[in-house]
Amino acid sequence: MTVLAVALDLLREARTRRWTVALAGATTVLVATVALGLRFEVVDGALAGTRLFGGNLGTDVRSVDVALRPLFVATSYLVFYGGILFGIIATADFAPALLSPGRVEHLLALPVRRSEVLAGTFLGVEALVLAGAAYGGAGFVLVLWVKTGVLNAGPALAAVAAATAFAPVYAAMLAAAVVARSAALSGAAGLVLLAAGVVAGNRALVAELFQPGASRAAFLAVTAFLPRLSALGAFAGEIAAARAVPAGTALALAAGTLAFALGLLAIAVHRFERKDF
Amino acid sequence: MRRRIPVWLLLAVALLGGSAALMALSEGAKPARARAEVEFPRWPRHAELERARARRTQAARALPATTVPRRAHRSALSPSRSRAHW
Repeated sequence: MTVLAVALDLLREARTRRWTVALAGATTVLVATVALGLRFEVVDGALAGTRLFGGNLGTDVRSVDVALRPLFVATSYLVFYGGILFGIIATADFAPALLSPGRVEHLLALPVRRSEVLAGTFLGVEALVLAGAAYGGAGFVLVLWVKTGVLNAGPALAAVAAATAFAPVYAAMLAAAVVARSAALSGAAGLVLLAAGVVAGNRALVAELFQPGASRAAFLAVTAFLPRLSALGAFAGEIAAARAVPAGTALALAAGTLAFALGLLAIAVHRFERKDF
Repeated sequence: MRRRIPVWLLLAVALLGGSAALMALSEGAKPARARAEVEFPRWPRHAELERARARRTQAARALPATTVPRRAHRSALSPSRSRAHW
């Protein structure tokens, strides 16, 4: 319960911040631009023609849900990576503000364990990013549904994938903030882990670039421990493209990503418990 | 003074190890088989990798066909370099 109270406190703080409200406004503007900018001509469930800057794109009549699959895949990727980047930018200074002199002493004077403070902050930020990504994803789903008559929940599911992928990113940001109280360092840690996760998700392809032997083995050994963030994004894209996704693989990937996040969170708690304020 | 066991650190090591094992399973490889030339048949972009490999193999096969006439041409110009001449 204490963890939830800390998380709710963080969400209350986020609501009062202009920066968070501005990012939510930017998402609204993006969805509204798509709503006003796209022009489709759908006839009885088939796509008769699409106009881009006044010019026709293809003349063959196809089933609209098949024709628009690339659009749904692109939207899912936008929600996935946009959601993670939105999270990094919006929440980079939450943990440093929490640990600022004056505030952290007040917090630790309350009957709250140090581990509960970090777990609550982590949960609150996760809820915030899930809400932000779901807002954008659901907005795109509704706009495309109204415009084309096709309901594809792929972009909304990509928001869940984004929140899952954001868990290790924010755990790294939180650990960095505990080590050194800096919003810039926290944001940089998140970006580095995101980039490492994209490389780890494509490690079979990237490993081909290394010479077989020690260098390739070292690359595979290092990336074996990193979360495959781009693989999660690829799964979101596969779902939006209505392709079969192996459930066991997706679940193992999501569970591994969350376990990695909890591992980093445990490191942050270990460091936080030993700090003297 | 009794030294405290770093419980959180031990938990972190266990979680990170478990995470690596789960992600290796998601790629279709057993954790113990973490060797350099590992294949990931259940990786989401496996088909793409296979296509890239097939393209490279095809290109490698096509290469001798284009180089043979050139060699023949060169040996025809300088018969002393050609084994057939001997």
